[in-house]
Amino acid sequence: MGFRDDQEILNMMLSPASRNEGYRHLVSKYKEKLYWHIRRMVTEHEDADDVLQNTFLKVVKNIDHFKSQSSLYTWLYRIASNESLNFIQSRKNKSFVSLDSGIQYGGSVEGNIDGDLILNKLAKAIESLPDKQKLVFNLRYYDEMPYHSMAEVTDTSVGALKASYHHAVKKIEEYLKADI
Amino acid sequence: MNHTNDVYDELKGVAPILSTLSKENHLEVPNQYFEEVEEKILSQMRIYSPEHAVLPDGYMDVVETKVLQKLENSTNIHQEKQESAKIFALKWWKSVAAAVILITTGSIVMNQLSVTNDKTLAAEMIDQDIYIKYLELHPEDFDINMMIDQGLIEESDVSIVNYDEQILELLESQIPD
Repeated sequence: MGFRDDQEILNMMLSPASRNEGYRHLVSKYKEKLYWHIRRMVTEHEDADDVLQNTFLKVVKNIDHFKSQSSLYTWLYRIASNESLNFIQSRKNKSFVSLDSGIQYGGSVEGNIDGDLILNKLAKAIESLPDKQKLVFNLRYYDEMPYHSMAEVTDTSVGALKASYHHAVKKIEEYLKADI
Repeated sequence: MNHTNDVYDELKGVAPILSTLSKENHLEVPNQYFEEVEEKILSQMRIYSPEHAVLPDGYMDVVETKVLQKLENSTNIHQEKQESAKIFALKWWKSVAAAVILITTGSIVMNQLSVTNDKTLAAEMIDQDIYIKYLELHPEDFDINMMIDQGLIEESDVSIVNYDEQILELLESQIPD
């Protein structure tokens, strides 16, 4: 089944008669993309599950205030990113989370141990970035988002985002190079 | 999953190892998670949906009467307070004693607050002066500092050049022996 156009989904959600149908199309289209975006930020599945549900609830509560200057897609990512950053901040306030409790990959790359090792190294390298720089890296590297959309999501200038991504990439590459 | 051309071109120069890694997802998710979470999210969305914020039937017809009733009640309370004030005025000597105590205690507290506020204000002014001076000397650092503050980069990402020393060296080299 193909996904509906964002504008069509938005129109459905704004009309009381078709609102529930609009919600269904929205969740169906974006649940996986947003889940993975959030999961890369918060690491644990249970946390990602909570943040994902909060993200969609925020959408419902604020749909009437949605400004059409930005796209639905960047607005959703903006909410998901802010919810993730808030979650990380509140977790930091509650307890110290060590780097070793970060992402561990369950599978392997092409069935070899070296592949596992390098993916775990990549995960640790990403985990070592400051939260906002991690967000910038994930949006560009994994979601392959254009810089102008990232600017809408993060409320940051394109120049600053390019610099942030460039430094993140350099740090990760150095981390991966070590002990290879 | 491989990189699109844009992202790959951007990576291959600065990060040859990273650019060759597959982005295939190896994180684990419980079975049927995405099917189950969709229903869970949709049921929550319906609860918080705007049509659930409906007014009870006939609310608008009775609200006016309720507001007027509250206004009337508050007027009665105001009148009662005025009566109490008259009784209180009769006990004038008690009022005078209370006023003296209040003024004495109040002035001590106000003095303490004033000293603390002066210190805070002075500290803020010093910080602001240092900050402005720094911006005058390092206008080119402003964006970098802002980015560090926002957590977009770390201090170690950029090599901090000491411009003051460079300017001093330049001036010294131009002074004849």
